[in-house]
Amino acid sequence: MENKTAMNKAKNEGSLRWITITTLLLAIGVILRMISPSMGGISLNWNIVMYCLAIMLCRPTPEQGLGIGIVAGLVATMTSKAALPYANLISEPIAGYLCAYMAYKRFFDLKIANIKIEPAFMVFITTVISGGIFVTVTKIIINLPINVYLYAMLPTVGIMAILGMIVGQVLYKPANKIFNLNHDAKNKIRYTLDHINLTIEKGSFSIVTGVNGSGKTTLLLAIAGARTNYFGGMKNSNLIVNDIDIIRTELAELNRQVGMVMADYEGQLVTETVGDEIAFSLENLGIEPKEILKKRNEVLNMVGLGGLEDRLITSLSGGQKQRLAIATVLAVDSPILVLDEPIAAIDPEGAIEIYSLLKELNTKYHKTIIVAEHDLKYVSDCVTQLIVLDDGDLKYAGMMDECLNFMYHSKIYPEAIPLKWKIYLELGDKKC
Amino acid sequence: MLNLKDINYSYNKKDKVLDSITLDIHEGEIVAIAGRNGSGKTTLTRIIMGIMNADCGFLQLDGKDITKSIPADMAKHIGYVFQNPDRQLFASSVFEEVAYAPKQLGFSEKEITTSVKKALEITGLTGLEYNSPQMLSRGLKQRLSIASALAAKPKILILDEPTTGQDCRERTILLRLMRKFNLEGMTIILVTHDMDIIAEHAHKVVVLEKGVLKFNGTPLELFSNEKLTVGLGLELPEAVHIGKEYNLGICLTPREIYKKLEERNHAHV
Amino acid sequence: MFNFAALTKIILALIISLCSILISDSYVLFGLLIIELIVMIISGRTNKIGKAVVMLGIFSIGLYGIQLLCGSSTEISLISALRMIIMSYSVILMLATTKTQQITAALVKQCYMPYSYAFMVTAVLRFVPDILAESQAIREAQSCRGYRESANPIKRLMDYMIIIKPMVFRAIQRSEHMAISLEMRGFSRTSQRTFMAETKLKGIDYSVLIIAMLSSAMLVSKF
Repeated sequence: MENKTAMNKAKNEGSLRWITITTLLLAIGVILRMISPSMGGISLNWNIVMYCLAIMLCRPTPEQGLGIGIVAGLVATMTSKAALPYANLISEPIAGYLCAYMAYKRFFDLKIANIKIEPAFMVFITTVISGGIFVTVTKIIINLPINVYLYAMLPTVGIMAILGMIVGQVLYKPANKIFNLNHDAKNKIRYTLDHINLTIEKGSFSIVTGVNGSGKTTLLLAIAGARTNYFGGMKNSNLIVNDIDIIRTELAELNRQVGMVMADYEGQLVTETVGDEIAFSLENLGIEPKEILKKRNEVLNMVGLGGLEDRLITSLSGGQKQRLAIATVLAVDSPILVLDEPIAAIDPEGAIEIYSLLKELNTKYHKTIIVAEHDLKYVSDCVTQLIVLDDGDLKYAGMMDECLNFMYHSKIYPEAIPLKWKIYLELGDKKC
Repeated sequence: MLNLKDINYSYNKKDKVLDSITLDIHEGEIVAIAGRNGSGKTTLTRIIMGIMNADCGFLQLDGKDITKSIPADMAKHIGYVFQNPDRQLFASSVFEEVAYAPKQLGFSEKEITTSVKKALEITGLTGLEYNSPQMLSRGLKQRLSIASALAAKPKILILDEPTTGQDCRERTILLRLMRKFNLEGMTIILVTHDMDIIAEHAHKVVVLEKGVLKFNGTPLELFSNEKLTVGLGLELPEAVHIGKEYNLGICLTPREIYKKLEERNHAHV
Repeated sequence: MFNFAALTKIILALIISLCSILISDSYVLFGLLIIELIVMIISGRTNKIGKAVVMLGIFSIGLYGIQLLCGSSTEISLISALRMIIMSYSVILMLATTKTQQITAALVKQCYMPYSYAFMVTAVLRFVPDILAESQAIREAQSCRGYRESANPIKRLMDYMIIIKPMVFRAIQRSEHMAISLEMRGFSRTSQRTFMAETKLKGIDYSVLIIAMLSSAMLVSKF
């Protein structure tokens, strides 16, 4: 039993994953309720299946389970046009608490015929508890006849529980595999960076390139002060950015100095409107609302999204979302800006816009810019340092011409060399 | 092979997305569809596939009228590869993913196994049958999407921005694959922003602007006319820029540049 | 007209719901229902909530019918149907006239709910449209590979399982990035968090609340 709680503790330490996985799975639950087919009005309670799954994946404490239940209840109240909306606010928190309790203590961690049946049990029991409380509260408050309660409502809960049990059982195992992809004790794929002897000057514009999997994202995350569980550390390295020793500086300080726009920028935008998103970063730092408004106008104008405070984030184009992510970083005045493949899914016009914004931020506002990029033709006129990685190793860092020369002659990611240079280098070769 | 006549489409009967598009695509061609964002490129391919139906106009495939078809009907003849591999892979294993289309189309067990094997072989994914699609790298995911479309043995392959988000190495591999399929007889409709790809691989290029067909011809005809290219909101391919810089005339591909440089070197010697 | 604080609207919804539970006179309940309908019309949000209002109206009539069938008297059936509709309309009204950010700010600042819970609620609502688009995209991709929707409901449920799996897996992968991003933005170090949304109760809020509480106390004691 001690082993199990230790297992749970390791997962939870300082991790916000229980928040993010609950959020995303509950969102899926809302959609499934909208689109799921039902037979005679009876269907699964997707809300319950989803938060049960979230709880089983991240094994939160029972208190966090209560929180998950409260959120599930609020979401259900706000999104379903139910007959008795308030009942969810009572049934879900209780069910969430109990579900988390059972998951935390791993009560049902059993196997039948070598198959773990915990998911089935958990979803069944949670649905019965939640559904039972819901229909009982509804019956009492609306004063429904006892026949309807006993012969229609309770059996419906039973059917929902059985259907949910099947879905939970089918989903859990593969979901757990992906959730723990990099955290599994036996399956530790650790990404180490080697020989990162690199100095990035204040106000410079650096590009990091290399094939996918060469360590670009890991390096950028390390600079930004994010240490994932699968980060194996940096060996034989000395990494200085803006006179900050990245390897020896506290993560919190790195977070303050460095703002990062990740490759999955959609996952970084977590509020409803453009204005809210910028305010979010500043609210986290305890800035006063008046200041927030001022800053918000300032950064939105800087990135060319001025006046769009009330636009819904889902209505923005890919390029606009990118620029919004950049704006949230600018709002907290980080002197260093790090971007992971910013133009990967954007058309050429949008790409030119993003890079001219970055160039402006670099020249006019003196931000230190570090970008992971494959398409080098956009940056040839502003890059001060080109860095190429291969298999976690830093192979070369220097001026663009020298670096491309190196890439060509050592055949390290030569595919990325823009045509102009390739021809120049080939000519140079032939002449010799 | 594929004929479009006067295809019109508007969103909510208001905003016109496609205006009287008339176009013929011949067997064995690689046809690139280019144009600025919002020009209607993807809408056109979606109408060809039957995901959306045109408001009016005719669509014919090998003489058969397919104007009001649905995607499930077209799957046997046309394979569609979407831009984002994460939005089109859903099976638990690579094998199941590629077998999905043949299964839905009623292939026999034996036929399914052979076509899956062949599709994986062509795309270089043999050995990954039992891997989970979600765990693959982005490049492999895109190749898996292509394999999944190929397994149904279509005659036409529609590729929507296949190189988005890929690193340069994967990009080269994908383009080589595309070339290979085409040499084996596959007709390819390619939606792309990348002028270099069009210059190097397309037989024909169709340019849309605000839903109107503004150009239908060869890449040479398009890119040798700088005014036309820029006027349509497009960039000239890198090779053309370099050809101009070295005074080599119109070069569409790196290979042409090297050839002309060599010829010039020999002439000087 | 509806510039009350979010907390005021929440309390009003709770008051009217509580009244509907405690009052057993169907005429008074009808009166409460009429008040709600009038408020709905004044609020100008009828096109947003119209469909839900009508559906719930039909449902409550159905409820009335079921009660009668099960042998309850007309009075009791009427009361139960009215109770249900008053409560659900109160929630709908409150949601339609208040921005989500205001609701969550009120819950955190005035109801002392931990911030992470409020955050999750807004984040869920933010991701719903995007994930919906993803699910539709996957469905489309399946159609392009020959999928046809089946008439058999069990088969349709199994077909939905095929979409759910990739959606769940994507969510899991994204949850990692999202967690990293939140950490970098200082989410877990919130010692002193501020809120943009206005939550202060003004004079008009207090007056409205006092009027509501007094009149409900009166009604409840009388009926």
